[in-house]
Amino acid sequence: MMISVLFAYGLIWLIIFGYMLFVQRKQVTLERELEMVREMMEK
Amino acid sequence: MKKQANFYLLYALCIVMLVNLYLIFNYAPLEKIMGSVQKIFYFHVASAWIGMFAFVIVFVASIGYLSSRNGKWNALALASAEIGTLFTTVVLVTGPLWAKPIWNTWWTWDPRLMTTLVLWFMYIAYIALQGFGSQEESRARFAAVYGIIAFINVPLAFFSIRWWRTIHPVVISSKGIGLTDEMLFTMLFSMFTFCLLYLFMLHLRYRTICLTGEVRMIKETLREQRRGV
Repeated sequence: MMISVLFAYGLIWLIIFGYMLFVQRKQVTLERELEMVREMMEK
Repeated sequence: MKKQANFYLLYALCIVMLVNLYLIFNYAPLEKIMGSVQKIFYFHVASAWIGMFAFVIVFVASIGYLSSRNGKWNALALASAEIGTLFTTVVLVTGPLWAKPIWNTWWTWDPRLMTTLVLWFMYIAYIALQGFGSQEESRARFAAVYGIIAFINVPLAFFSIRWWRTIHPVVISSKGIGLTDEMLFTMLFSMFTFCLLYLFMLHLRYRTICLTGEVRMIKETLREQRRGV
């Protein structure tokens, strides 16, 4: 039974941190893209 | 500076989560009948409550969008719907893991389980709806209307264990709370942790959605400028 508890907790953190990592990486990419298009606008 | 603040927030959140895990595994006593599998309860209940709270925010933000037509409300609704769906996924995963040793089945068509599954599907549909169509204005309007209609299922899922006959445990009822003081404190701390986690994730996702909109707008302006030249 303890195994299923640990499995559940592992899975929860995998889902939550996986999502957070995905969003964080997307944010970094978007910030770079925003800088690029702003530079293009200025030109 | 903003990035640094985000990292500090994340570190603080990690510490709170570790404290929460300590409380669950060391502080809260072992339940006499269910044993260690009851420990799933602390995350299961907190995820369920925060998931439902996220859908309340979708409802409020949808009304906000329809009354003001401000895109920021739509971004808030989408961010909250995504995180709410994520927490509901956690509920749907941890529930069967608890149910197998206790009910001797992974899944049963119980009112609480049914309404939660329908709730999950409804918000998956909401997220899909936000991705369809080329016109941003009409897409956001449809999504806002759907976000308000879909909210009907939230009180249904919440009160299903009180309104209908169900085998799902009712921890907090009019008769009182079926928990010891240590268990109650741990559950409340779990809810506090998940609330912080929700706010942090909401802030992160909201910013990403706003950035996507900003990039798209500048690209469209550039395209129009090129056409004009």
